[in-house]
Amino acid sequence: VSDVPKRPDLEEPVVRSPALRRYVEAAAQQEYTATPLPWDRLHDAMLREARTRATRRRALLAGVTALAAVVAVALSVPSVRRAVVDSETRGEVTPSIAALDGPGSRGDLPRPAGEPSRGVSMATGADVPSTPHDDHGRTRRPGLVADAARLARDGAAEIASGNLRVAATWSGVVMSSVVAAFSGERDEIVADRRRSTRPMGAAGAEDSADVMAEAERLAVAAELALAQKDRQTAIDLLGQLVRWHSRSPQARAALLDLARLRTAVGDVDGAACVYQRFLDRYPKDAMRSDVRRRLTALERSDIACRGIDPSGQ
Amino acid sequence: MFTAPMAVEDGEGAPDVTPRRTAPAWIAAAGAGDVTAQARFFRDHRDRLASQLLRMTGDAAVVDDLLQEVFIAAFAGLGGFRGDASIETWLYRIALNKARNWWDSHRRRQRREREGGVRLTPEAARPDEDLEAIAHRERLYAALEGLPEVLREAFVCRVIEGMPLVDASRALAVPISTVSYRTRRAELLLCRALGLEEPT
Repeated sequence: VSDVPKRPDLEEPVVRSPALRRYVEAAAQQEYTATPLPWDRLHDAMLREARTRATRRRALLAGVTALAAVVAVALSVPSVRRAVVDSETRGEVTPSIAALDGPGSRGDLPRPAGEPSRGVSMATGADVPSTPHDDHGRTRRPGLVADAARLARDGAAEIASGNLRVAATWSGVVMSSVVAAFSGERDEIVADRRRSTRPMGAAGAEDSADVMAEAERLAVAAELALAQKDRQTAIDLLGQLVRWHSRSPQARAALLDLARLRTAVGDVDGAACVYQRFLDRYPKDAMRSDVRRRLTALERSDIACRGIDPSGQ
Repeated sequence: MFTAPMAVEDGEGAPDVTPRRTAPAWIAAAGAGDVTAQARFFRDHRDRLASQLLRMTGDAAVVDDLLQEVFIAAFAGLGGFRGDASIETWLYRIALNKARNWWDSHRRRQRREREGGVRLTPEAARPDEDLEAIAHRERLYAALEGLPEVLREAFVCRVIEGMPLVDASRALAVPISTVSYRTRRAELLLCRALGLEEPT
């Protein structure tokens, strides 16, 4: 048999092999002699099929509707933004959580009497320049977050727009008296969970779901402790977070919080070790100059540390 | 057997020049869900399709189920039938698709049973049938199972079903030369599989 189809003769024999012809005849002679399929049975089957199709269609429609609803809710729910008061720059101000719930919401920044406002500085991650603001919330240099947050005239931090847009995959908004880290899984920030403090795709071995969940649990528990003004518990929880989950996305913000809290409770050596640890761990971080300034202010730059604690402990 | 209204030109993509026929009103009614029309449609085509399915599969036990699937698919698609081909050709193509699915699952089932060491129960023979004919038929379908899908379909359509080249070309939606080539190729492979002398 040639591999190339040729123009056939319409009268060509159907089977050329005489031996095969006997087999073909045996097959061709088959007659279907069983009781033929009754119409009623077919009709019942068609009704069942129609019902099954309708059920599948409804299930599909319900699934699509539910998915659309979830997406719509996820996109429309206003962000919950939290600002943690930095006690280090506030002297004796008690740490607290000011919840900034969406556009126009405000979180009070307790300002010590007689102390002038220092203005606001914002940064959005390693590759995004910081955006300094003056006392009146006017940006001194155009920046990505200029319109997203500002310091109002009365000293309150204010979220000016619904969503904070950043170019990087994560962002940390830092003000001289407010720190707020934003999750950045999309380029539009919709929730503050204080995680994803490093670029996506740089996940380490610890980034399993369990580690993430545990680190997140510790970060949330520390926030709650702070909200209840339980500094020591917050310090313990943040310490656990940075010791056990040092490569988790929550570790960066936890280091900053821990250092500030230790400073607030008078543990200057401990705070210096944490700042030192931060600089070692995140040498190119946007906060590094701010952290260096704070470390210098503590006058413990030559302290010997073991991890996040002084060597002597 | 189909009646070919006109010859199909040979060559790839040759147009089917069958005059377009308007589907009878009762066929349209069957497509629209009219139960009476559907019952009539069913009665008109049931026996012929059952025999075709039997010749496609060689297994009488599956004919009823396949027949049911063919009619369910046909009624679902009858609304879109425009008479480009005859209703028999259109139904034959549906039957061919269902038989193709059956062959696929049959082959998987055979493989599983072979792997599991299970021996298939031979088909019950009709008392009036010639034992030699039964043996031939069983061997032929076992050999057909080993053929590529397109060769098997061409062989069944052209040789076992006995369609003229023109009708087979229309039913399989391939040019006449392709039907001819596939049939001859299938014949060669079957002769080899059955240990018969190859055609010259």
